[in-house]
Amino acid sequence: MSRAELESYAQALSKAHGIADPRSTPALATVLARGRRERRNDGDVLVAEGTPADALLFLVHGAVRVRQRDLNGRLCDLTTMPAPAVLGHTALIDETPRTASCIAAGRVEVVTLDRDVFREVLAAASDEGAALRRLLLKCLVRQLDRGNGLLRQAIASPAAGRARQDVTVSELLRVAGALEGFHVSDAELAQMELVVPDEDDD
Amino acid sequence: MVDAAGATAADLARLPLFADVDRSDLEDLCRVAPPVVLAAGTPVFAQGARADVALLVVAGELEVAVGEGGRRTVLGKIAPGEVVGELALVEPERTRLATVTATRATTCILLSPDLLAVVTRNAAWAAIERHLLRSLVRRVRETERALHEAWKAAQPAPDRPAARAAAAPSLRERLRGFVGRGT
Repeated sequence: MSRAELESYAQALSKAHGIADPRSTPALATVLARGRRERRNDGDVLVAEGTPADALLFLVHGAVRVRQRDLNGRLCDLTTMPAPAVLGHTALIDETPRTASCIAAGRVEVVTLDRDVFREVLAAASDEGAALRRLLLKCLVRQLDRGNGLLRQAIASPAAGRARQDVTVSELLRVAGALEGFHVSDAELAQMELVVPDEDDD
Repeated sequence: MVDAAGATAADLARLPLFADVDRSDLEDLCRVAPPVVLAAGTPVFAQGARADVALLVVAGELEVAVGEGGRRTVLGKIAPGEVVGELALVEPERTRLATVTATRATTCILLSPDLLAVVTRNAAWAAIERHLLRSLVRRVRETERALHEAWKAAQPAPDRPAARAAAAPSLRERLRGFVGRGT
């Protein structure tokens, strides 16, 4: 991609994530320039569930289907994500295997940033490092909002105690991931910004 | 809230968060965001107020609580090295969903969105942002886990004896367990 194309994409990425700082566009373009541009066909697996997180993907053109195996081993379509989007950051940050697969929905173009480059940029005290970190912070806050929104819905529903048959597997699993060890400390609960309604709110 | 005359880059250097950060970057951070001391009992964030800053606790302790209808529930404590209210840095227009109070004299650094423009090349700030990324990923995972549990609870279980199914906790009860109700 030319520098102009990279900047145009970086601008779209910033805008889509509500980043107003004008310095983010050139900085993100510089980060993208360190990646590999790849074109993939419909049905190609860009990210495979259960595999090591080895790269960060920027979806430049097209869309991907996000799929995940449910607890019974069945594949569920969680969502379809259009460009511009960032894929695979969560597993890269906490160094866990991928918790969902991303499959090309039609022809797509991505920029792939290898893990070592990702780590280097993420750790850098530079405009590029700051731009990447702030983009990923935005991505994660949105993921958290979406997850907490679904959780609130499940908790607050009067039907909750009788099994939410009206909530589809896809809806509940939209942001669902790994079943690794789980513990919420009190402090983290506070940070979850999740307020549980009282029993008599029913 | 007063300037923390005693708090220096040396205090920050003791936090594991800054283990790999040069002293000069910590000194720079202290210059642009001087540590402040909150007296015991000082209200820091009020539930319902606009979220405008986050706090990095350097020494001391903060308490987080929620209140509704005259009832106050303490959710937890914030220890040195932890950041509270960090969503204010990422999405500044939010409101606080909990009240935060200093339980004793507590030294903090105020992290405001305004600082983002001046600390881009500061390694201490980069360490804070990486810390926030890890913290958010952990919370995303926990939310995902709770959603998995919700999904499991919502599934019919034909292989489960009826009596056992009836005795199983409701979805609501399970979710309450996940988010630590009653602490």
